[in-house]
Amino acid sequence: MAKRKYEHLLKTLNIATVPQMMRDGAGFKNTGNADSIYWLNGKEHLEGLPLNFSWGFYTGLGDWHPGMDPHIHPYPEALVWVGLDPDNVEYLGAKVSYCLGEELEVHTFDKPSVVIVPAGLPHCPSITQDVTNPIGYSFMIFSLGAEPTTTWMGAGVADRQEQQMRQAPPGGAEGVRGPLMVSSFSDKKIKVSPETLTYGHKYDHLVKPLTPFSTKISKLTPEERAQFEKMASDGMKVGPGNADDLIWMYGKDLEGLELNFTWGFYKSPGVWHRGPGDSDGAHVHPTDEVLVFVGTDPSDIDYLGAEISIDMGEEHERYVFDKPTAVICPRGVPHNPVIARYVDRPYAFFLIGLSGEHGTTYVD
Amino acid sequence: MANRKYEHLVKPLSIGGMDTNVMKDLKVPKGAFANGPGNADSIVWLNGRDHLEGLNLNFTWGFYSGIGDWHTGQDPHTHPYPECLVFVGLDSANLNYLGAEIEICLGEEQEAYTFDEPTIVVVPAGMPHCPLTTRRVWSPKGFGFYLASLGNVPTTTWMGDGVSEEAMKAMQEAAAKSGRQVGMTSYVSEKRLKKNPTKPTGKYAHLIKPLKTRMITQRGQRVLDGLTPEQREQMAASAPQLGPGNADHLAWFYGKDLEGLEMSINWGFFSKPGIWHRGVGAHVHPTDEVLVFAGLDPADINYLGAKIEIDLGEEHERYIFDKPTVVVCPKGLPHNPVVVRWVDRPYAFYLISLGGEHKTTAVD
Repeated sequence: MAKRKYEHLLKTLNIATVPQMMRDGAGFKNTGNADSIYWLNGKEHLEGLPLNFSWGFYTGLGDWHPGMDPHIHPYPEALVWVGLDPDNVEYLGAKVSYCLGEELEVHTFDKPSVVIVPAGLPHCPSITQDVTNPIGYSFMIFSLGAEPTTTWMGAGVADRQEQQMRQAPPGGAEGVRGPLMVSSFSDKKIKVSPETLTYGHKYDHLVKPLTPFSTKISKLTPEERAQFEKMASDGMKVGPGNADDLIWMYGKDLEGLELNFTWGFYKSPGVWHRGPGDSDGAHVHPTDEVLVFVGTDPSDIDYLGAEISIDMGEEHERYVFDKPTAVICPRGVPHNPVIARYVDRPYAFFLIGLSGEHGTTYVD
Repeated sequence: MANRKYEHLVKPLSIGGMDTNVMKDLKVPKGAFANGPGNADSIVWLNGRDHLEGLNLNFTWGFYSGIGDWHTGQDPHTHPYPECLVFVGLDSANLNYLGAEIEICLGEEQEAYTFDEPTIVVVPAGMPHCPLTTRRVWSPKGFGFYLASLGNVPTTTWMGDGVSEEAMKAMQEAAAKSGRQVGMTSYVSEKRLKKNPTKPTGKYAHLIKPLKTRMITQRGQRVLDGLTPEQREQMAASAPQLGPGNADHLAWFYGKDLEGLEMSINWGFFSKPGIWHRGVGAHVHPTDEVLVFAGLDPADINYLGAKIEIDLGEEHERYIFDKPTVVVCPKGLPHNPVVVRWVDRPYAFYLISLGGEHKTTAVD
């Protein structure tokens, strides 16, 4: 094999473990929090990108961070709940209540949804009320900061818990990285109880259902149709390996965040994009993005269920993987085509673009 | 793209194309490319000297729909090398459908053997064979045919009583007008035989091999009943697990199945994207082989209907094509994986290996 110029841009998700606070009894057992999770951050895993993101499987009921919420971050984020039925991208299989603002305004949803949290806005508790899919559901955080940083405002944090979270994590053990979360504790405490919850509509605009961007042009909005036709005029067509239904939300859909993301299930082998040209979709963007390939088997977060190849750089260096993987695409670095060589089990993919729009220029 | 070390090994079949417009100027029956109404509607003919890096091989691929003799007045004929004549159907859902009835005469006795299903006819070096007559065509698409001959220059001695040096010269001039090197070296035998098909005695029946006797893949599943333990081992080494892009239907003949020829050949239909073989990267063989990717549209012999990539060399240099193509794999040269990016229309693939066995060693 020739020298691998871009291999630092491909990261198996298992390079990152859960935050220290979620292990060793200081975490969230018997809560609604994750059964298994990976959390990658720009500082340690993503070549310095101002981004941290998570991917996890969830089946539990109840509060995700008992006693600790609400909390705030110095950066904005999008919190994305998705289902695990590859035949129905609009099915969540769970019912979630989420609080926003110091008012603890409760919002409840049972469809795949995104909650947009501006920097500094108190949010949570997040409470899983019900899980109706027998295999649970998934959840992703897209946070626009290189280092997960949280200030906890809950009135129920025990002194022992606070002390443990303030300690430097051990690190060093095989397969364990850290610290992954910089925690602090607010002097201002907010008590969460049935009496303090509110049910207004101040933050309705921050909770949005995920709407499929269908690959069937007849279902596109005029704007989406124009974008699709532009791509088609460049000679690009959807390949057999692409998603059946795809959700794509841009900054305009996310309260102006410098973020766009996709979510979709992929079931079939083949190239994702046909054309333009022989490269089948090699392109660049003016902003950074991360492509994340994940499995849909909650019993094994390290199982992808497919073998994928992707080209990186002008040289079309090809990388092949069959484990859940993040591909970092710095601005201006050509990438693609993506080709699914085989698919044993439907897998999922999400793109995190660090701009509100997703400008694309095909390069060869 | 980096320097292309192996590009001389990847050739579009069109380099061996016959200019049928020029051929039409010949005073020959309508529909015949050369000199018989049953002959090809369109054909490519590649030889080791001009196209295949000196391999001791020439082969064809063509579409046929005409009724009648293939070489009026010229047969029987002989070659100084052995060959296999492979008659195949164009129904990609059924490898055992030919859609035509063929009569071929074998031996100086001109024993006439007739078949109406896909068949290989093995012709030893020096054995008079033909006339070859398409008696009936039922398929609206006609049928396909390829020959695999163990000589690097097509060389024929015509024995028919209707052949003349003048006719040979006219054909060669026609080829020259098309700007192509004359592919066939033709001689006219002093000994002439009148066309006189005789009732078969069974003397040459062992040279007629129905494809269905060596099916190894049916409806995407392996059927290895006809293989020896050694061949099964070889098959497992070359392809531990079939990928989604592999054949829907495939027949495979080794030297032992071809009267001891130093040749292995296969024929298959492929309709799906994805990788051909899982669990193995590149492999090598101790003998030369060619991999032929052909389309199944009789209206356009230059249409493949799929986009395919294959790696060559230890460096895994990748080659991508969407036209009918032959890949020359000299002995010892690592090749594969084959990955199908997309398929618009089922295509055909055949392999011609210049060894009676098809020993395979995985290299990565």
